[in-house]
Amino acid sequence: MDAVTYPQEEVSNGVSKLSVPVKFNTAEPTDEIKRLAKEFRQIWTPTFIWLTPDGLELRRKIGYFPAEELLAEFEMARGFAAYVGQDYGKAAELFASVEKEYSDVPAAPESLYWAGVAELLNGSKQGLMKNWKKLQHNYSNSEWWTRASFIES
Amino acid sequence: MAQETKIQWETDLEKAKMEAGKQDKLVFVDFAKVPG
Repeated sequence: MDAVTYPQEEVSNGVSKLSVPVKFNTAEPTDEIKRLAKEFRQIWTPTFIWLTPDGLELRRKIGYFPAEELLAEFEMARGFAAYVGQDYGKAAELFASVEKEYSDVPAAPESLYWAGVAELLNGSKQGLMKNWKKLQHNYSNSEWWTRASFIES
Repeated sequence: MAQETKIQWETDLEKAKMEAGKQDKLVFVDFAKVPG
């Protein structure tokens, strides 16, 4: 990540704009890092965790991420931040933006799933169906379409 | 040769949470093996 992904301008700008980033070096762990690794049940590196300012875990990913995939994960985390804040309209927009901006990343089908859920919680069953139909159309082999496929029955 | 990252990493989680609250941002945690 330090050699390839983080140095890219769009990544360093995105990370800095959207978050306060914290790095814990598990190669030379202090007692505090050991404590945090246990608290967060961190079992492998790299592990990425997005938190709200009050410490609520929004999203977690493990392993190397290229630039586009990492930036998409930031948008997913922002979507979940709006979702847990019950701002479902904003959450739906943020989730949908992942698929629009990063349609080839692994998070794209998941983003449509959650965009649909957020639309439903915002009072729009039509919004749910629109996103889940798009999920079916564009990502029918994804596990997220499987999760949504009950709408077919 | 890798370019030097511009990201300013915090090392104190509680400080990062406080800053994130002030700046209306998320906290992004990276548990990484950084070569010494």
